[in-house]
Amino acid sequence: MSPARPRVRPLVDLLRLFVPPGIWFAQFTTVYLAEALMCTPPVARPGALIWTGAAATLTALAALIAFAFMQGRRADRIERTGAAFLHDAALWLALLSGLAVIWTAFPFAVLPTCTPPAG
Amino acid sequence: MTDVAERRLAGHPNKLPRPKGELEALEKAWELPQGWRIISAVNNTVIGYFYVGAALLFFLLAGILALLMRLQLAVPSNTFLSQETYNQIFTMHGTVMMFLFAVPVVEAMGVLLLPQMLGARDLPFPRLSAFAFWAYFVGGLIFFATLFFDLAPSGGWFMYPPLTSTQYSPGMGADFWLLGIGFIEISAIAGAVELIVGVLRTRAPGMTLDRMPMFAWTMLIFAGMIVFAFPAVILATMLLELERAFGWPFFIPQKGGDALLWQHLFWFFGHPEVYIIFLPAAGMVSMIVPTMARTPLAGYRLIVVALIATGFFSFGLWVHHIFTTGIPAMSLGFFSAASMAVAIPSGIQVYSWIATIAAGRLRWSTPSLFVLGFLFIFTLGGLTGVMVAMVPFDWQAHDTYFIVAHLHYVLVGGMVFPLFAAFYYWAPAFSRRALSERFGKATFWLMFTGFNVAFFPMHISGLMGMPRRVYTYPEVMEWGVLNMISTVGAFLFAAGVLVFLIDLVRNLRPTVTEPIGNVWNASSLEWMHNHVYGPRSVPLVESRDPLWDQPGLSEESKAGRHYLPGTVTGVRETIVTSPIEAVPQALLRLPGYGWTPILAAVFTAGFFMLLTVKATALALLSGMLAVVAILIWMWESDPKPLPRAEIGHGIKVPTYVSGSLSHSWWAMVVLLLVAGSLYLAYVFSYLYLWTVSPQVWPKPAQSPALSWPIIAALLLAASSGLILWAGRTLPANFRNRLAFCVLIGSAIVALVGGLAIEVFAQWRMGIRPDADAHAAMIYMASFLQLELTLALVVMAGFAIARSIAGLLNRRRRVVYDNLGLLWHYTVLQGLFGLLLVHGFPRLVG
Amino acid sequence: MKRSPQGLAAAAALLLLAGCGIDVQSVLTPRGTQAGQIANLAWIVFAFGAAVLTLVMAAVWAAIRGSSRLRGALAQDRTIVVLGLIFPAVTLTLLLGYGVWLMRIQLAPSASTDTFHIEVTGEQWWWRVAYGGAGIASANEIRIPVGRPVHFTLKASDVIHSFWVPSLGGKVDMIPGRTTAARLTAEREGIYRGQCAEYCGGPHALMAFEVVALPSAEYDAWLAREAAPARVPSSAQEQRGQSLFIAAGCGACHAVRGTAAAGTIGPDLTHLGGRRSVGIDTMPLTAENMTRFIANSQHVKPGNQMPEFRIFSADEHAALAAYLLSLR
Repeated sequence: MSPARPRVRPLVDLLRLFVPPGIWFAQFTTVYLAEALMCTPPVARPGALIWTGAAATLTALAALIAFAFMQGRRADRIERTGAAFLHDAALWLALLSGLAVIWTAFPFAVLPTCTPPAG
Repeated sequence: MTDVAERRLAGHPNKLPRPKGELEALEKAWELPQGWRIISAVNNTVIGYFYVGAALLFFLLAGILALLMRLQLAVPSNTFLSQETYNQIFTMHGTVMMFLFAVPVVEAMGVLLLPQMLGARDLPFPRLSAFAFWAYFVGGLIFFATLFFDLAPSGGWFMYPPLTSTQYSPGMGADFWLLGIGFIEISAIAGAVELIVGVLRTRAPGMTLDRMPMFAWTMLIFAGMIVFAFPAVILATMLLELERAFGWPFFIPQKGGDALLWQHLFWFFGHPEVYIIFLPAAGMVSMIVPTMARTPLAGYRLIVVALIATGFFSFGLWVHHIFTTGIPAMSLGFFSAASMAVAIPSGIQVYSWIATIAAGRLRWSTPSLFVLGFLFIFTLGGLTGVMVAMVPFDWQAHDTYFIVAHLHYVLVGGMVFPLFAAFYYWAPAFSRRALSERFGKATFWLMFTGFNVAFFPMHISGLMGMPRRVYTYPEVMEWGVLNMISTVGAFLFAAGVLVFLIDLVRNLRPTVTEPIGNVWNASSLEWMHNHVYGPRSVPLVESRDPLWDQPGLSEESKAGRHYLPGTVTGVRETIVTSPIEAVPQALLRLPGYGWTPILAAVFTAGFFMLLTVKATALALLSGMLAVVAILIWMWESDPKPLPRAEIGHGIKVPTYVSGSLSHSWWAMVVLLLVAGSLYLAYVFSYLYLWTVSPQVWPKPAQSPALSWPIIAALLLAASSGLILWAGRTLPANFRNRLAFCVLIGSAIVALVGGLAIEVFAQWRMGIRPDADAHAAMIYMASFLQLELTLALVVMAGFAIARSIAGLLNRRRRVVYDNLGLLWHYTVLQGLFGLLLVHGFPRLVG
Repeated sequence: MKRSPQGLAAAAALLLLAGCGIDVQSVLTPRGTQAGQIANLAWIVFAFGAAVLTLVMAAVWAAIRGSSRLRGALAQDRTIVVLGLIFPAVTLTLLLGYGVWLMRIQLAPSASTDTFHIEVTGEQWWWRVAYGGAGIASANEIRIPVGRPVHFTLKASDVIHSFWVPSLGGKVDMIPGRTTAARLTAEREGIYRGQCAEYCGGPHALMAFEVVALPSAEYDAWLAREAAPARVPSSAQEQRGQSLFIAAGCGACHAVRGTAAAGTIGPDLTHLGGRRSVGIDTMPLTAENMTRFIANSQHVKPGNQMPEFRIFSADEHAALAAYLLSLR
């Protein structure tokens, strides 16, 4: 329990917890914004919507996997100090956020673009 | 814990006996004002009592309104209440419950419980809590009183325009809502600042994040959510009030506005709002269940994950309140998906509590009963929530009594039941007598039965076609039986509350000295001997359940063997520690009681309320008095640096820190996040209106020439530069003080100039804010800029005064640092606004 | 409603609920295609909800009173993950899929070529109706053909209202400055009730309407009659009523096609006599009720935009009522 260089753990370790749900929020916002912009008269490009959505979803999933991988590696290097559980927590959050990303992509796959309810 | 920290902390506790007079000095520093002057108190225990009491008062008042509504709806075509009265009452019931009870009561529990739970002596900004409380209390009473003058709003608690625009709501009621509730939100934000800084920076040494009580986690996330959610409704409130008062057409379709903009902004706040209400209650349950089951909380790490996931996911749900507005299907699908996603963290929490009960041996007590009642009611409510998350089902259930049933199941089940559990649970920590178990069980059964009898039938009446917000219904629909049952249930529930009130009067004896104590054998720090200053000495924490795992901790603390057994500087103090590992970093000197917070609160309330009744001159006077009170309050802040202080265990820490170590720097950063969220909501509104009404966006020829915004931008940037330069002149000697004043003064001129040029440029093109939605948006950017500019002018003047008085120098620099933070943010916001307002039309034109 | 195990279960539950309201405005007695699909979804989610609630309460009970082996199992972190994360993830995936798929079905452009179009505008506190391409004007009572999809174009002239006929389908808001749409298909003849489902101030609670579904042939005949100008008054009393109508200025707000009355502020009265109600949907169209509404509209529907007309004698009221009831 005596690492070479002790440190007061920086706040960024706590903020890192917010990365996975932040990735979900970014994917969510992207697809929602894309729908809002591409389905309104000024822009009106429904085709681009599918590509944007697919890209956003795949990027988000890739980012989550990369984050989880890096977290795993980081956990090995970190001394077992009091708040080490933050690493585990971030991994679980990555899992939950991944689920949310996949669910957010469902409507994409199933619903027609730019159709208002009740045709 | 790190090696250094361990070495620093692992020392033996302080020697005994403690010096003579140490305890007396501590008690003297923390003594309370006598008699009626108690209203000038600022410490968290007294403010906490006031706060909880006020919130309960509003609960009772809004509950009486509900009983009146139920009497009117008990039979078809009833004439007990007139249409207009009923419409005001249902609006006030919702508004008072949501804004004056639900959020304040959980905030109040935080104010009351958190410092002691964390081992701190008080919250980091005691006068801010006092101000927040009094602003809320005075503002709330005035708001409620509008009912007695037929001035209450009647647009529903979510106040949709155009119904709430001047044309369809010509009276003052809507303005009371907008200005009254808008200003009460200041309390919530102040509370959020307090809680974030308090939870992250003032925990007892050794209380690392994973040893922090779960209630503290929930309050931290609660506060974070407030920071990002409340600004949306604050902006919406500003927009609607500007429309009503000056005709700026944000929501008027004929001029390019859109009624749906309000709904997006409101619900972007409104959905996180309900989780803001629920999470602290879940935190309270997470404290009560382990004690009642006599075993540590199971799944601690999973619950933290669930809380954070809930916090984030809840920001992606808001459109599920507006599934029926014709928004494109795919968008609805996204929000349906997110609404499902948020159910999973709740499931994790529920099963964690069940796991805790299974791991232990649940004792039957009033708090346990309320927790079990919560589990049933909240789960049922959550499940109807999953039902309405499915879009086609919501197309039928929306705006019917099915939703009324759902929302009461999750709010009453999810917050009120845990709250009552909390009252019965924590009373012994704050009162000389515990509440009665006999009365408590009666209260529980009446409330539980009454609640289900009242609200379960509403699922059915909603599905049978009964819409919400109807003052009556026809006999022919045969909804009378269900409604009568609901009314009976409501009165049963009220009877339960009455029994509780009787119990309170008979048994509750709030105290700041010797409460009856740890009758439940609980494990968290608020159960140690508890005074107005918290524990006698701040304990070194080594476990998640300190009172179970560190035997003798309470006695050691009481004997003064741990940190801060007295007062080092003679005034109130607490320890500032690092956010994750809770290593002591500084000694924080706290203010004692005083009149400036309550006066500032009363005058601020006066400002808003007088504006509502259009007594402008009086309002301005009241506002100026508020500013004066705040300036006096601020002048007494920022005490001078003293030599390093020994806080016990052989550890010395600085008495004055600046930069990111400073607690007030943290508070300013949180405020910047609030300001940024507000501005983001504005940017969203701007772009949203463009997608709805692109035809009112100007062609480039109609916009001011580019030279104007460029000049304005240069002025803004210059002001930032001047502020930075002023920072270099901080060392205290006459020449530098003069330079400092000149630089700050010039910065003020540049900042104001940048704003004035922008407004002038628009004005001279003939663009008027009431012309159309785009013009209104242009001026809104300047309005938001103006609010910060005014604040900065006052703050800059204050900094100049401090400098002249010799109270601001290179070491004692917090005033300057905070000014800088807000200044540079404001300049960035201003530059972004110029880019948006002048660049965007050219981009799309 | 289709005959199916769901349908039978639904019927059984409905017997239980039968004492709880008549079924002309009920989500659970669907009479239209869209409402039927939603009702099926509803029963499934109710069953799901009941099952999960039972599971949770059983787990609570087991945690308190169960055997030590069972309690040991419940206390594991793994159990929290399985019950609290994996189980909901799986079941909610299925539910989400179902919900999204049903949305797709309800929004698919109509395959039918005989969609009928009706435009409804929400007003404080009545319904402005216009049938077909020609926009045949009417108010408050809506008639639709059975078996044909009806496309409703929805607007609002003042504040937000919401168009909702639960027996036929979900609600759609009517928002000033925007146009929304709903598609409903009645599957059998009948009279269904709808109600404004977005609080619009004042007598929002009384802003209801009836939807009458007629078989196709009957409907076409009715529509043809509706398109025609107002019936000319035959009896002397009716003629007297007509002159009173014009003299009192009613034509400033109300239109009677084929006469001088051409106001559009209030409901179109051209074929008022053929409707089932007057003023509010629960007041049947009789001479007495007609008189009541003209003289006392603020007592019948407090806050509504029509002033009370106390200027007529009993005779004059009778003539007015006779005239208006003759406008079939």
